[in-house]
Amino acid sequence: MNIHIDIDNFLQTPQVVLFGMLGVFVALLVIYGSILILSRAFRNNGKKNSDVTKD
Amino acid sequence: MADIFSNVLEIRWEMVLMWIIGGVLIWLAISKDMEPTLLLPMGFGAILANLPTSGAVTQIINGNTEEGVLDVLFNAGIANELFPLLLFIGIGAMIDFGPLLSNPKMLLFGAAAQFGIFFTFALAALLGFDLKDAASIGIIGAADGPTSIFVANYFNSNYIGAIIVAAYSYMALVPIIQPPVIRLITTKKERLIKMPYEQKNVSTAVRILFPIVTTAIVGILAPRSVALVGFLMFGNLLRECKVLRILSDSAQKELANLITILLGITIASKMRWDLFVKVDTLIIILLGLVAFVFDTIGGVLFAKFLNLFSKKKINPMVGAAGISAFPMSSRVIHKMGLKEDPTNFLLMHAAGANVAGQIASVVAGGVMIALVEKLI
Repeated sequence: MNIHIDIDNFLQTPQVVLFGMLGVFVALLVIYGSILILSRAFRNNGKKNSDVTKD
Repeated sequence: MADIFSNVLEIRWEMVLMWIIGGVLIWLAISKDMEPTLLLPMGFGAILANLPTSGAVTQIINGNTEEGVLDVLFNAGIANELFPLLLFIGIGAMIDFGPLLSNPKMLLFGAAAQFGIFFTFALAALLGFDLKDAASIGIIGAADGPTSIFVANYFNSNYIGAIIVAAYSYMALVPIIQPPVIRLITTKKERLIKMPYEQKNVSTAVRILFPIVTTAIVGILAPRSVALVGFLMFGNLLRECKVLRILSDSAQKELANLITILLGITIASKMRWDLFVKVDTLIIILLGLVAFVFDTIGGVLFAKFLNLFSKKKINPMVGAAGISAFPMSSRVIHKMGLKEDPTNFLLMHAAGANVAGQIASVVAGGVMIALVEKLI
């Protein structure tokens, strides 16, 4: 392949960059929200060591 | 006698160069302890695949195709994405998402630190790589070997060998790449910001439900990456359910080790001189570096952006841990924090951002596939 500046090729990328970053943020924000909901729904109620991984 | 030595005449300088590259990879693995589990098999495989008329790779001899074992393994385990997926079960079983579940805000840094993927994709397209190759090159910035293999293979990229070498090499070079970039874009005052860590108990129910819910969410929002995230989360569920300890141990050790052995040497089938010794390979390796640098910049600048609105200031260095290179990146950030102030412990925050990067990089891979597929 010859390395060369390809403006037409490049002009196809801004939408991928924009929607790509947006898509990643949206997906992780939804996961963030779900963690908050799960944490509220299943509080630890003072039980100890449930966050300690034994292995 | 002449027949025995006829093969010597088949040796080309490009093969010798690949032996040297293989030797360097083995040296880096053994002497520098750089990702030895992958670089050593890849280095040996590079030598194996580049011997003249090597029987380890497919050859056409007198018009007959003789399949080589490396190509058989490639078709059986990488062309159908099996090896990276199986490896993800092991990785999922190794990861403790506790720091992330304690402080889920860190997920945002995982997202921000994928910027290098998309920036590099655009740059590769500008340099004339077609979009599928540009996407495969950009995904080096996922800082995650299996995701890089998955995406490059999905697009049937011509550069899969160079992409994998770059991805794993830069993961090992995170301690060299990230600190100067972080120092360049942060002030001393910012690097001194303390972030007290409040240990929060995470209930077992949350730990068990997290992998299931995450799989469902990613499956709906980015279906292309559901296999990757699903296998990662399946491994994590094995770990967190606490009733399958033997399976969890097997996934972390035997499964991960077996796949790693095969993965490294199999990738070498794409490191044949005729595919690898090109100017493009050098460009791809440079673009991989760009991807890691801009991942780091994305994470740090996002943390600075959040600090404009947040009362509790975030040490911007933590943002850089949002890349997926786990646990290397979180250790680097922790050490940098200690170097600035020996009483500043950033490890748990950085670990949270780092495991978030693991999820985010998989999502980014799926999003990239979905978006680029529409354009080609």
